[in-house]
Amino acid sequence: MASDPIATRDSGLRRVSRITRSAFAGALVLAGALSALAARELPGRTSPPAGNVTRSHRGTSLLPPSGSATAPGFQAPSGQGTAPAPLQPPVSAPVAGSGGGPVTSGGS
Amino acid sequence: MEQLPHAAFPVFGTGAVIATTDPSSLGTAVTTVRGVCDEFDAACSGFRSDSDVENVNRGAGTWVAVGALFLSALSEALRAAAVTDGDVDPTVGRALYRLGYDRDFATILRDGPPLRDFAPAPGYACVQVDRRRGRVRIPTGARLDLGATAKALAADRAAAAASCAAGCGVLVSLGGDVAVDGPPPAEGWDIGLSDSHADPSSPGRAVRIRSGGLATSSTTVRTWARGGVRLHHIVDPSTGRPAPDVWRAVSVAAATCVDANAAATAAVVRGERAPGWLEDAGLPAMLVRRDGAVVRTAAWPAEVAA
Repeated sequence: MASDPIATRDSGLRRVSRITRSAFAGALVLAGALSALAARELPGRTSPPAGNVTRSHRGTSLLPPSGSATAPGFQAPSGQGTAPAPLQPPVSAPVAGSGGGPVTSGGS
Repeated sequence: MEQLPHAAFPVFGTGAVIATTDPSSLGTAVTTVRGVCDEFDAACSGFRSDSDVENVNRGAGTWVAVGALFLSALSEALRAAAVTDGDVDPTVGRALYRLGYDRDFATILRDGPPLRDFAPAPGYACVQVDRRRGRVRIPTGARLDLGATAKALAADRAAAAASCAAGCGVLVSLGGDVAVDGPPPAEGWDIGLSDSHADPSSPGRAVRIRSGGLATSSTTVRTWARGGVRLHHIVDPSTGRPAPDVWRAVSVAAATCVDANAAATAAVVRGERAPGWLEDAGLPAMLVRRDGAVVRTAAWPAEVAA
């Protein structure tokens, strides 16, 4: 008994459709896996927004952009947010001493 | 003022002095401080081939695995660089080498041929830190030097650890970088001020602090010459040359020793701009000009008649 040419054509089209879907899904999975591998092996730099670029007397330097953990040149100490903590004055101001202690502060 | 119990020992190519409010706890404090200093030396010494900082310098251009303490010290150095607009920059290592400061200071050649070129620092922005994987990368040709901040950070950490271990107030001076922690003496910690930590303070120049840190940067100690030109160890990162001799010494009090040290070093580099910058930051400081004239900022006390 000869096969129905229309049924044969439909069967072939279904096979082609399955193969196309499988290939597409495989490509997506492969692209995701390669992206994850690249991100792990080559930690990138976060480009700071323009507002975070400051001028130093030496040229442009980059302060850490908001939320950046890998900004070049600076990584905020954990728990201190994103901006470097400014230099802090003492809790109480120094008062005049007598120099009678065992320690001298000086260059070394 | 009654002399507090204290002990001294050599460290980091300079001297440490430890004082406690409780005489019976001095030994515990000294042992603790020695331990902290040993850890910092292993992580941050530029004169040990096995230190983390030298591993990073040798591996310039590649990622180098480092320890947690080095990461912490580097973070403080980068913070100091950021808040001083690069006047205190950990990438001055190559500049110091070019000037001849390429070994422990005690063995530096005191004179040599004239210097023909200098090495401006590439800038702290070139340092990459991967905290998650515990590694650091600097560009080929760059060289880190944490000398400006690591000693002060060690003083802060040592004072905190020693006070905790000894259960009393502790003062730690590492080459004149002073940190205190715990309950202070009734009148505060009395600290003399001088160009050199190894010399007695000038008459009338002393302060008392109750917390935090005190640091002095000076252009008159750690000096040598090349071609008859006097050099010192505080380098302007933008030029790779020793900072201009506007101030012979700058003393700063701050919430921590590492902040005081960063401010004092930056003040030397900034020259005439320093007093206004310190005043704006609210940092009490005493700046001594080459001729001995004194400028004070914020709440720095007036001298007491000797």
